[in-house]
Amino acid sequence: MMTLLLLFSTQQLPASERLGARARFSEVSKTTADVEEDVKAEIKLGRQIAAIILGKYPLDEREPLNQYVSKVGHSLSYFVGRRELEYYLSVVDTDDINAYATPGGYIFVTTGLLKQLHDESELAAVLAHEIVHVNKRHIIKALNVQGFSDSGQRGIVTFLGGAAGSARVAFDQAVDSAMDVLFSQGLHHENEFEADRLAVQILYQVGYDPDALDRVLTRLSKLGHKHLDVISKTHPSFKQRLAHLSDDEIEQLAKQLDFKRLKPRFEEHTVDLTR
Amino acid sequence: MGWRICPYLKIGYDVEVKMAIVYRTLLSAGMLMLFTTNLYAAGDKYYVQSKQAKLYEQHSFSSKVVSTLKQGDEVMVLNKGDDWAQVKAGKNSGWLPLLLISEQKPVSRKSVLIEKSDVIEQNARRRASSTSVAGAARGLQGDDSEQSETLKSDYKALEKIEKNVPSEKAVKKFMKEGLEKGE
Repeated sequence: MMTLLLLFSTQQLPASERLGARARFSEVSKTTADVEEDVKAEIKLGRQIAAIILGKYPLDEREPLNQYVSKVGHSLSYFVGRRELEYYLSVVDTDDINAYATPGGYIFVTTGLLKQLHDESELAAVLAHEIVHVNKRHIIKALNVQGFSDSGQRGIVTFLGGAAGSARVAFDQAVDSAMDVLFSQGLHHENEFEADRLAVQILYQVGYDPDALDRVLTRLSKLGHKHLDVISKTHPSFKQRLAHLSDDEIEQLAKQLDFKRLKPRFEEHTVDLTR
Repeated sequence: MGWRICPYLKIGYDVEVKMAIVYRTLLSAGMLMLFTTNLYAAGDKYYVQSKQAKLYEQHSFSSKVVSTLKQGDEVMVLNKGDDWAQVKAGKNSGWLPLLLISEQKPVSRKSVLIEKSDVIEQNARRRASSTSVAGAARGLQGDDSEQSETLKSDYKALEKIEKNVPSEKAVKKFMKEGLEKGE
């Protein structure tokens, strides 16, 4: 009888939610201090990963370009950002076509990808996708699965004491593992589909053309470009992503309401990029 | 009829039957209460994360906007599914995207500031602890020459991007110029 009661109490959520629910139940029991410690650990990890990405791909020196990308990103995080995080958005100089998000809110878009975009709504679509990875802690969860913590998110706090000894080793391993996820293995495909889906929602919320992500993926899928190596290795195929995105409601709404693409402003700020 | 509720009390069988009925009724009522509270999860408390969150009549952006909530507002989640949540917010109820709310009370940015010295040794060159990472780095370089297994970090660039944060005023101005007036 008690088993039945317990069964009832978990069946209120649809199946797709249950995994998230398990994680959330453990979060509900956390104190505010616990959450603060988790976030600090997440930021510490994310900063180190960001520093390595910047060691691999140099920061683009053009300040106006970086500031523009940052403002577009902050227009999005204004609506959907995690309140405890600062989001850092910048441009890295490489022909590789990709964008990256580390835990803690460090987001990078490559000049290679920027050259493939046509307007601001498309840039917003790319950044929105990355913001979802940060908001949903996809990399942290991927690391947890790989055994760097003892139970759910609590384990990441051990990195805070990371000056020496086993904590430092664990931290370094987590950084390496995260780089592996970003550049080699990729996240679970479901995370990528979720990031695409919610990116479209974010575009709606903010007022950008919600069709923008579809346009970007369609264009990239036709490239056959060697600089798509990393994105192809680490993400589901463009065909799969487009299939998951197709939504008649979105297409109908995009026609009815006044959504922005902001092509002139995008071209004004990216005129320096040689195409 | 071998069972007894109170085998140690010397009470009549008819009293025991009545007690059993009462006991069963209470148990069913208790189960019912538990069941119904679980159905609504006692209205899980969530908090609005987003600066603004529109509450819609249905779980669709094309439905009527009931009200606009602001960051930190408390909502009771009644139902969840398909990236949307049905909530009660004060007098109003409606739907909003799950993305905009969180179970955790908002934590302030100040309380999670970390010491930069915690993280960074200025000249750190880190060893790749797995060949797959080094391999990924090699592949990206686009050439086949022997690569060092150390991964460089650029902390100067990191500090630069951490200074490149627009003020809320600048972001609002940017949004106004673009999304409100632009094409």
